[in-house]
Amino acid sequence: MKRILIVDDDSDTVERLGVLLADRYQTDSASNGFDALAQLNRQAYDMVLLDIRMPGLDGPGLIKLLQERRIPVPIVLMSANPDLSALARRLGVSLSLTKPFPVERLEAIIDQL
Amino acid sequence: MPDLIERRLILAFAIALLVLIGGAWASIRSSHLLASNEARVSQSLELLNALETVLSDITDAETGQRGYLITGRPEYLEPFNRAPGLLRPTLDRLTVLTAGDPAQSRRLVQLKADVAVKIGELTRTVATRRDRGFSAAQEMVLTERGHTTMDEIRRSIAEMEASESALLGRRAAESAATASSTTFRLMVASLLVGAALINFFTIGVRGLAQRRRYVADISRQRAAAEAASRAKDDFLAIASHELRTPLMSMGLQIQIVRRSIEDQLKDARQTSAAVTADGLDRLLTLTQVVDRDSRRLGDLVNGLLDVTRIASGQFRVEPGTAELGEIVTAAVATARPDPRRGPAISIHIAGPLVGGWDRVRLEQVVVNLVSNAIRYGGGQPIRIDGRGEDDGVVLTVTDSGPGIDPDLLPRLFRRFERGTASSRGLGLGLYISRRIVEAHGGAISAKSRPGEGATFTIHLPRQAPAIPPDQVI
Repeated sequence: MKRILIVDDDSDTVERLGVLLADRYQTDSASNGFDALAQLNRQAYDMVLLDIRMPGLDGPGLIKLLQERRIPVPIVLMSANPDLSALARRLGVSLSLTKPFPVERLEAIIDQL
Repeated sequence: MPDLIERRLILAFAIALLVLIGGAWASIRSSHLLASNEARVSQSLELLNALETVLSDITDAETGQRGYLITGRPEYLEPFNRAPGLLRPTLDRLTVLTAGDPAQSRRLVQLKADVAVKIGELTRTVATRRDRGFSAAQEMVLTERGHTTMDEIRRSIAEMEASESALLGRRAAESAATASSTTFRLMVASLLVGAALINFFTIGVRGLAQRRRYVADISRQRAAAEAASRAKDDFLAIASHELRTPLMSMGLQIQIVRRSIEDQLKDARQTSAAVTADGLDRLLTLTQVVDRDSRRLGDLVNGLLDVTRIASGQFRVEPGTAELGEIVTAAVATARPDPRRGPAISIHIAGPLVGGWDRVRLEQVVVNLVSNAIRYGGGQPIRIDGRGEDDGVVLTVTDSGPGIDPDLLPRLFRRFERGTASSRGLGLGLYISRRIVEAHGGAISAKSRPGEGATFTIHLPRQAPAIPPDQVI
């Protein structure tokens, strides 16, 4: 079972994504970049579903830190930002989902990994 | 403001120009006056000089005559013999010099007559001395006639000299007056020009200050406009975030409910709890409606934000490497999440077709075309074709539905145009699709005949332009 880390400051989104993905994947959650980094240090994940706007360490900040520390983990960016695909390209992330998105699309991406 | 400054500058310039012309005229006029006075003064001086010459020549002649009378030696006659030749041009010159002055002319006539008489008297006494000897000549001299004539000549010359001297004094005074009045006029003109220059300077400085303020105002306004534009961008970002975040969690919640019902329904069917299953089935149908509505709301918000960005010139595509077959497959999965429901969709992509495109945006276009084909295709099969062509690719989406109203066909890709009056949505899908395709340097078109379905065709170059054309419609 794939292990997914969901990082978003909106607790509703984190919780509900967790519920929806729970049947097929093992999920953990973090509410900002620093939490996520702590989780990633403790545990290996198959994928990080990462929001961009977050208090403390935001999505781009976390990606930079992961690159600096050479922690290899596939990242899927999710955001309500209208320029998401451009931002993802700048950050070197190939997968992104513009909020709101149907959970089926997320599942399709996870299954492709 | 600037036109008032212009008017004042023109006025000041006109005044300065008039003053300069006036000053120049005054100075030309007074130098003319000075020059003519100068000429008249030198004429007077010449006249005085000529009178002296006449007196000196006639005196010399008389001296020569006396020497000859006393000694009888002819060499004494030399000045006497020369006198007529010397006097004639001097007297002629005097005639010219006194031409403009009737009083002097009259005196000159008298002087000439006296001179003639004197020369005649001298000639006669010299002839008497030569022919009849000293005593006869002495007798003639003793008549005092020569002496009287000489006195007449002296008096005439003195009168003329006095008159000319008085004239000379007047002319000198006139010259001085002209010079001083010219100086005064030039001074006034200089002052006026100076004042005009100061006026120019003040107006110019004020104008420059105003210009500076104007430029400062403009840059302030530009800064304000830029700030407003930034505020709009910020608003867009915030609006997107704020609208999409609750939509996100709402959508997720509905999907949870739906799945939960689906699971329970499966359980209920397995345990043959028919009544419960019926109730759950109804619940599921209701939830599916909410699920669909929430997705539609999400699509509407996304579409409106896209249109807003197109209208404000911020719409961009981000070309990267993408493959058409993958885009189509993903789009079909999104447009028709459950392959068991809805029309059959066949995909025919001729080999991998890789290009420099914005994957996410192109997928959005294909989702839009496939969704339209499902919605308007009357449940008939849908066919998707992709193939390479010259230096690009062609993608077609064909349905076998009732086709598109010929009246609507030309307006299909405009903003807020919808398939039919009863169709849902804002009519933004094809408009946004067109903008996405055009931003890739491609073109989108539709063909349809009533009753024979519709075909949407997209032509794309292999590489989207790095800087997309900024077309705002």
